[in-house]
Amino acid sequence: MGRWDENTAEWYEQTMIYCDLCGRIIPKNFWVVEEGAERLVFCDPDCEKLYNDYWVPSQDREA
Amino acid sequence: METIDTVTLSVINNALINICREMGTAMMRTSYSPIFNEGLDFSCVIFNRRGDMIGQAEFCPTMLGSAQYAVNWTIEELGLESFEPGDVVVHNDPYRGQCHMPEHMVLKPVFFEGQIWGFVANIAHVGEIGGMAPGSFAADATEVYQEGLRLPPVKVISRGEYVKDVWKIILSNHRTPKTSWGDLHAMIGSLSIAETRLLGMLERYGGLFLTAASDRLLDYSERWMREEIREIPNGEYHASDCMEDDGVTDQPVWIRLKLVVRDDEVIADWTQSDPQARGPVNATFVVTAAASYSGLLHLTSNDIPRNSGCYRPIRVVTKPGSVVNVRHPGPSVGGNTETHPHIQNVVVAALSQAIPERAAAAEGASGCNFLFAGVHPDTGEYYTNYHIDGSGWGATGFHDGNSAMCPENGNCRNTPVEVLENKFPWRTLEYRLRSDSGGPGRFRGGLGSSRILRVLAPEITVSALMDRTKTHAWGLFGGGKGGRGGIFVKKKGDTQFRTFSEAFGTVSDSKFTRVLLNEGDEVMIHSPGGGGYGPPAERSPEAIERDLRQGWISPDGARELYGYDP
Amino acid sequence: MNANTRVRCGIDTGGTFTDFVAVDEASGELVASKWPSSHDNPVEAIVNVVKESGLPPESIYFLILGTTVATNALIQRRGAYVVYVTTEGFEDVLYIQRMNRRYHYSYEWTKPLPFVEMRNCVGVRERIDAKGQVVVPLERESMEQLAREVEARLEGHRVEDSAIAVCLLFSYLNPDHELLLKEFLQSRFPGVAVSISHEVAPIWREYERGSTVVADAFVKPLLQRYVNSVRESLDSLGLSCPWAIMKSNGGHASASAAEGQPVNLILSGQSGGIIGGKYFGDLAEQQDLITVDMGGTSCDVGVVQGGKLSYITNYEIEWGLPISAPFVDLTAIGAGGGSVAWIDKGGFLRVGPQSAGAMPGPLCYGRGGTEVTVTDANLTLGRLNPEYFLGGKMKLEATRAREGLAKLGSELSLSAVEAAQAVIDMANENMANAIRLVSIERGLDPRDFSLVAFGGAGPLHAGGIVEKMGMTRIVIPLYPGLCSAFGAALADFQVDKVWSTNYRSDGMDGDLIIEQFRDLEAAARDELREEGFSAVPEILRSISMRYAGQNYEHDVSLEGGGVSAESLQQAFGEFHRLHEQLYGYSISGEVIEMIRVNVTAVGRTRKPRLKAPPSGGDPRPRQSREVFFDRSGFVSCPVYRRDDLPGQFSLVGPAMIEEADSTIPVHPGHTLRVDRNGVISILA
Repeated sequence: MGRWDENTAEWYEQTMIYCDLCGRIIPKNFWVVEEGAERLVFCDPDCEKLYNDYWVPSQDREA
Repeated sequence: METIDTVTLSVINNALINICREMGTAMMRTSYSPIFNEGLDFSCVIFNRRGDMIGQAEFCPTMLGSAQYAVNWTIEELGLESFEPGDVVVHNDPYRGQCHMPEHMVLKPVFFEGQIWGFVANIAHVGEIGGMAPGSFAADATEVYQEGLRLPPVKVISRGEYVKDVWKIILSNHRTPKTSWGDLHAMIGSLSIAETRLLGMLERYGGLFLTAASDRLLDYSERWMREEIREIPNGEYHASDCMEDDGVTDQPVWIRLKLVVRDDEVIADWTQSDPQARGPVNATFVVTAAASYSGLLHLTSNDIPRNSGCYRPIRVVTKPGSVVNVRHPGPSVGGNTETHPHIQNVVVAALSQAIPERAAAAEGASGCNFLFAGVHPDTGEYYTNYHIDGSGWGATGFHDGNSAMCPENGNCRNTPVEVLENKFPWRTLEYRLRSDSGGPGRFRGGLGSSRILRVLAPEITVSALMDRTKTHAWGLFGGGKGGRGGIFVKKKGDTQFRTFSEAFGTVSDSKFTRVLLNEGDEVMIHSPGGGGYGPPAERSPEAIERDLRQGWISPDGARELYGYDP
Repeated sequence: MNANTRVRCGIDTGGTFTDFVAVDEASGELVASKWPSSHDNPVEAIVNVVKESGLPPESIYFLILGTTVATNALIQRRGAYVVYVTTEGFEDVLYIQRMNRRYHYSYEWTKPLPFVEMRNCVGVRERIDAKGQVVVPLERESMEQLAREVEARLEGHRVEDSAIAVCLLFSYLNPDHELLLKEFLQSRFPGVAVSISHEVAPIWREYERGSTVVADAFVKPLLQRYVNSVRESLDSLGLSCPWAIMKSNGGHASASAAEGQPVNLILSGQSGGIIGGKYFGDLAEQQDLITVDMGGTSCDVGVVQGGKLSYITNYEIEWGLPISAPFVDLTAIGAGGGSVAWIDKGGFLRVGPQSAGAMPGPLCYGRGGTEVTVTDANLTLGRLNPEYFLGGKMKLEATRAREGLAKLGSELSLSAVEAAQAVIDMANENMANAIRLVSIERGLDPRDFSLVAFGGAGPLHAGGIVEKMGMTRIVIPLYPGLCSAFGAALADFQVDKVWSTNYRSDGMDGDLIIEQFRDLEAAARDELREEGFSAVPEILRSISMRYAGQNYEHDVSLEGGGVSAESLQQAFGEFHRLHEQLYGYSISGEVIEMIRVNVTAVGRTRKPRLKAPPSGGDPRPRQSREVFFDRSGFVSCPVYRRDDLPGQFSLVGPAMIEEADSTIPVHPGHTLRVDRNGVISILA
């Protein structure tokens, strides 16, 4: 189960957080999913959903 | 909420489109640089307070698709609470949801009954924003910092007052600040027009009602788009294309797509594309998203109301650090103009396997970006200019491709010869269509153009960023490829046109900066042609005869391309 | 009318009928007649309406025609075989066009075809630069070479069906080469029509100027033939009076002047309406008008502001094919009584632009029509009287209309009446959008305007439109169906002259500008005299200005009787103000460029005073019937004949007013007033 989090970098810093599914740079608020040691960051739950029902199976198939 | 009848909905949809058109007219009429007032290289949009695009008109697909991201970034970074009536924010940062550095967005909140109801915005190509090359199209840049002044979302007008500190920073970093001043004012002026018009609608319908109606329109467009996708057979479709080089290294850069149609949604998976290039042919994520949307939208009904609802069923998957999603601090100026149409063409090529009857062959896909700068001998003033040419579009299964068209990523006009020569020290020697440059086929690809310019000043510094000068626009279903483009130079006294690599030792023939030309030198720009559709042998003799008569193919071309003896 | 009557006549060639109106300026009496239009032979109907009117030919002293010959030739692409001559190297400009496209997300669109084949675009060696200086002279040898090329292209084509259009680069700055070519080509190709770009449209931008001169050449031979044919027909009727043709600018020109530059006649058939509408607006003492001329197939919307017509300088026959000329600012849309209602792929109701025309026409005509039209919807709502359509000349079949609407409604989950209401609402919305285009999009608030509604169907829809737009006043002319022909009869002479310059507000030579105005005025006066106007014309002057650096201009009027250093300074101030008003900002201190000087010479014609209806009396309704209105549903309405209504009469709706050529619903709560001239005003 994921949760919303936000980029807390100071305004004078340049940090870029990318969505693990679509690759977009996230402005501020992101959706985090942590399972064990694995931490995945998404734009929103929609990207998480596509990660699970498209990306993971397609990688498995190729592997 | 009460139900809203379809008549009222379409009235509201038309009114929103009209506001955007009206903004565009105001910008055309008041701006300073030819890329604005002749080129119309801008896009005007309306957003609700949540950041959904609810209005657009017939502008440039790249800006329209990316506006969604640029506006949302701005709202999220600054926060809704930071906006006040009379504010205007400017923003061009490719690492904050913009397409590339020259595209500047101005955004104005629209307050109704004490709260933000939505935003009016436009994105426009500001012709000179500093950086290593005059005209800010550095074809050999390796970092974003060489491409000009980068602006995160900042207020240039706060509660109706100029934020002079910011203006001073901007104008001190542009080579032609007066022109930037005029163009930015045209952009900001159009926002006030849109604000007034939107407020008129809000007074007429009420804020809640207009929100509900625009939500309905978003859903309606999404539903229609999903219906259209449902008509496309499910499956995985692959296609690829390359940028012929990146301006810094003479190596092709590949864009690869796996497109998955899954019931009522489309997944554009670009993760097999090449790592990001050293030179500026990298696309930002939003460019790739905009190009993916555009590919789908070109192949579905033209009657779907255009708003961000159309984009919802289209999912884009990329890897950061690739040519389709550049990582900081990579350069990206050419990604928006040249790589964008390649990406869009790849989407169409993939879908041509599923819906051949709607698809088009590849287009010339180059804006033939040509930049020049110098001191005008008549006025003693420094000028720069961003010049574009149109290339041939691909043929479809129902007609020949259009000739000399702005590539799909924009919807810009050319600059008339009489306007160009009025403003800049060039003499145009010819502006023609190129025979035989359209790919042969049952339907022929559109022709590219040829333009020859002679330098009339002691010096002009030129730069270029083109593609498809070594590669070709492909044909579909047996259709032939389109003719290559190119940019050539003939030094005064020379007898023939040569490539810039030959004449000046540039790494790339099509991508270079800061080449100094002198009075009497000539530049020839050939834009590429579009691909053909269906086997040339199936073209009707009447169509071949007509093409011969009009000079669109030559007698030799008829023999070679069609096996037709005139 | 008695035997000594002298009348001035207007003829309007509509899509369905050709209308004739004769005005006796002394008595204010009107004579009208109607004849079905014939697309193939428009002159036939002209002869017939004149005959039908019963007027003795000698009583007619002036005749003005509105014609759609030029418009139809362009729309149907049936014009001359054109050869286009341009500067060598730029032969393909008409096919390259402007690079942009009609739709931003579609492969469906193809570039519009110019009115000349690309093989007929011929280059000639010559060049003038951006300062107007000759850099490659036009040599005799180059002209001979050109003549050979033109000859080869004209071979096998009839001289009277051929035309040559000439557009050289920068001819608007220096016309010398074009003038040389004009003389040369005319002498070398006698009988072939020749059009010259700087004469037709002395504007910059080679594509727009080239496209305009080609359109001019394309329709020229046809117009010449039309003018000859009208001349012969009028002769055969024994009509020897001078006659003129309406121009797109709302003025008119003698036939011979008009055929010389037919590009000015593209809205000839439509501009009479706005002139007529303005006349009745004036009578109703309204200065700010939006005119709606709605007939069977289309609806023209125009604006009169402060008692003045507004004009545009660019018109597109088809998207991407511009014609630059002075046009009365009219927006035409496909909305008329015959417009068809249909459902699009997304399930939205649409009305028009296609029309069922007169044959087969609406369902209720019972002539085999199969599609629901606006007229069917009006009938179903009780807004038309099936027994009194066209003054009772035609019976309408209400059952057919209702069945059609029930079927349409079932697809939208609406009843027949609800569907009819939706069709009317949609048609009104289309017209409202056209009104927005000419008002709101230009910063004008339509609520400050009166709606002048005419044409057969205009008055029927006026009430619904004003409710939609928040407008409060409707003006309905006398004989609303004849308003366009009436407008043609009233139109003034008008000549527009333009010259391109390039002056700056810093360091300008005021005397030079004043001189340029003087030359243009002299040319305009001469042309007016050639067109047949001998009195003293009214002269309007303006300068097209922009901030140095901008690329588009705004016309700033010069007030007062002449041009002086002071009036120029005032005009600069006015430009800043105008810029502020239109775009929300001005740049004080910025250099202003003057791009064109414009002179309009108007030869005013005498306006008649129409015969007033008797006043007083208490008219009785002829009947009553159930009519549907938005807010009240079906209500019982008294039905009056307009002829019965005396001057100064007023009533509060709901009510219906019927006349032979139109029907006026007075919506519930609206107040109708007949003024002493018989003009109806309705206050919403």
